[in-house]
Amino acid sequence: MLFNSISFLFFFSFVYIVYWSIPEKNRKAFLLLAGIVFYSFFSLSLSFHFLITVGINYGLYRLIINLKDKKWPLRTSVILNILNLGFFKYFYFFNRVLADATGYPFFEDITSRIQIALPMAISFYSFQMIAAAVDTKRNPPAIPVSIFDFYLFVVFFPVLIAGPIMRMGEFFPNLSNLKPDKDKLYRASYLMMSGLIKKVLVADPISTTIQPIFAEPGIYDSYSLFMAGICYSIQVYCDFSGLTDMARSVALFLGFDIPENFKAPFFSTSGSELWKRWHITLSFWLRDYIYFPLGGSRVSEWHGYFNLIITMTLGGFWHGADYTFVVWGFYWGVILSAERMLEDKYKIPLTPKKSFPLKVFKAGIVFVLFSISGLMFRSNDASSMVLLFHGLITNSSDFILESLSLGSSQWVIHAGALVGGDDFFFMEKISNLERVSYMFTVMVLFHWVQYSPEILDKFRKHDSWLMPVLGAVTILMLAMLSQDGGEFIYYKF
Amino acid sequence: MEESSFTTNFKMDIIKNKFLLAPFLALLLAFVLDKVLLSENIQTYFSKTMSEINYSQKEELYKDLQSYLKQEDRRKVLVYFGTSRALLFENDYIESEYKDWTLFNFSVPGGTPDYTLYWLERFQEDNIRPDFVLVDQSVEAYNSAAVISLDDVLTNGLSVSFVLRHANKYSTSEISTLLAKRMFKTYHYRPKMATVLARVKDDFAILKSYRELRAGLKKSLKEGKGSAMTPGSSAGVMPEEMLKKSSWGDFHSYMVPFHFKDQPMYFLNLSYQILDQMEIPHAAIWVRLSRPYYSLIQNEMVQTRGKEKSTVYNLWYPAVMKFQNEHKVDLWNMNDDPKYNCNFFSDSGHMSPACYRDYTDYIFRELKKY
Repeated sequence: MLFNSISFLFFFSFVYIVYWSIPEKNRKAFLLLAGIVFYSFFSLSLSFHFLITVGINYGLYRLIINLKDKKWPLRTSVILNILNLGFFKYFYFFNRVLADATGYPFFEDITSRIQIALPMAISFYSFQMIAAAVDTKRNPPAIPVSIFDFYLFVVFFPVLIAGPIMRMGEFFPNLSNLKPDKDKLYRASYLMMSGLIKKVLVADPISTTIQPIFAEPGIYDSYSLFMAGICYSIQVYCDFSGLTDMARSVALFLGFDIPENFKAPFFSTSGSELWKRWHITLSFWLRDYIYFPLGGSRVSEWHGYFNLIITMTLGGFWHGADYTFVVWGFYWGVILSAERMLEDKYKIPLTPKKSFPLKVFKAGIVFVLFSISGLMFRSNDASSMVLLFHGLITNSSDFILESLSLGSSQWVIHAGALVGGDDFFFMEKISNLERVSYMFTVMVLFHWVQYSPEILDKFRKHDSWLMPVLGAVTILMLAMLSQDGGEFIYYKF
Repeated sequence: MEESSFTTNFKMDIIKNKFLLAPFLALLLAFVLDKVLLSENIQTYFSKTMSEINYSQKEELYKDLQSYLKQEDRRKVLVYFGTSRALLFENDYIESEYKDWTLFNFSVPGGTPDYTLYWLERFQEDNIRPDFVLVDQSVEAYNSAAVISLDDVLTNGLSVSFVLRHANKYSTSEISTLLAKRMFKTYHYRPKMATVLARVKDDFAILKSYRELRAGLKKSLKEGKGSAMTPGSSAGVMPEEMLKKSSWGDFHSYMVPFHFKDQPMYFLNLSYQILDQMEIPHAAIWVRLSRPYYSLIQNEMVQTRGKEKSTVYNLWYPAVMKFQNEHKVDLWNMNDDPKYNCNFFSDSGHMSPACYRDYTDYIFRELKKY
């Protein structure tokens, strides 16, 4: 049940009306029940697995608080969550790696014999519960959270599709203030509008432009492959940021302020700034629970680079069980390390501080680096990724003609011209590129709002009529201009 | 005591704080605007289809059928639940050649077995007993992985209560689409400014003729008891080479890959049960397809749900025959009948009007056996 579906509209309308109709003291219980029902829509059997997992984590949480030796329950909690995630998400991948490495047919066969479904939100809730265990060990609370509240923290349905990854400190303060709030309601409404527009009117249409290219990268020219990366950056931002807007909106409608995941990431002038603005809750999770425990930057120079690369590679692996995601994470680890080396060691200023044109230029470079990484992220598999990057360099008709004109292959050029005319060696080109310019503009507008949210404040005095009117216009626009289908990219993580 | 003070003092937040209803105001506003903008008159400015008329006319046809069956001196009534492959019958020809019979045609574009059940449930409720019911069996309805999905019935033909009663046979996305399209006509028709501009050009020339076509179709459907040539549909005969191309395209749109789904059998099973209970004689028909299209169905290997490939025919026909035999309902297979020879087609799957008299004769020849 996705946020942009009619079934969710009915589900949430019911939850919303009941939630604000019952006494405040019953709201938490009702919300927990709604979360369980929401998860059951995805899979009834896996919702039992989910609830049992949360229950075990709560037991370990209490042991971390109560026992003197806090290490073993913490370790057990971390290991259990990693094993749970590893089994459901990485079983096939590990067997593929073993099959590739050993050539032993058993590892190929076992994947076709065993069917494992990927539980919804497993990557998100596993990280959330690891964070809860580690934070509890670092700062044991004076009063433990009740089992009921702990369940609500993990089964809170607005974040069950794709985060944000919440910490206990970000969630629990909300519970003491579940009262109707006009400002929260209007903010929730605007967030829902922006999320739906990003997802339905930008991300979905642009996905149809690039889908054929990623399906057959070998037949497209270099320019089209490059543009596919640019388009994918626009798509993934509007898709994931749209999804986060909707999740935050749904939470706000219920009175919960949950963290933002995006703060104008493509206005970043360096890789390290980008990762403070893109999927913020994951970036900080990786920093706090992997990078810092590895020693962070308080180690030798090369050890620090190694830590960065390991952290980012694991971050890539978190996204998906494929070589493509591992390479994607490694790529960013190398870029961040190189940036640090050039700036810290060689004192080469890479990040412009004052000049606006230079800032725009540097943001453009970071955007292109992101788009190149997008080609890895979006590739259907490792061989398709290799084909794509090879094509990025070689897929031009000039290159093909030049290669053939060397040596004794010139006859192929003449034969080709005879059969297919002058166009014989031309590659396929990306179509519907005109969409990209206006979608890029829409994306920049959304960035501007995220970068300087105060620009909208002057309109807020008209909320009482502006929100319903804009809401109605948005609904009609979505109805008229939407395309059928379009799952969220981060839904499958 | 505590309980009574609770009930007297407690006032719902949603009542106390009216602003909580503001999101519903936005929804209501959009809903009203949608209904105003897309009234029948305004809809003709951008609508590109007329298939919904076939569906809306069926209510009128049903009333006509009810009153016709009450007549003492009446012909026998054949009710046909078909697809766009069964829209062009001529009742004048039927009534002159087969003097005992008349046809009430409940066929619709994209017709599927759920639509048949929807009407048969109403027949049973109102005790409507035609003399024979013919039900379509189309292979296209059995593929859950088609590139082009048939959702005409879902969005135009069925009631929400029917879909909810059989909700376990529809996917969440199908139910979502149904509700969205029923709630918002803008979502259903997706008005495009370019179409509106084209319709108002030259003193509304295209708009006027489009409205005339719609009115003409409504009139023809009324007069033809559900059968009529849809204006704009190809009425001619497609040349052989183009037919091959059309077949290849349609085959890949509707059959590749082929993931057999049993949902049509669920609805047919319930339909046959109703017909048995009401003791109405009935049969199923697999309407003639163009030979190139049929050849692809019989011979072209397609990807199936598993790893192995098979032909659509081998995946579908034995399963359907088994189903028909289990229910003791004949399947009139026009595609493999050596006595049927009219092969003029408007496209890969639709017989040309030039063949409709042969098609009619085929049906009534089979009907004589009952």
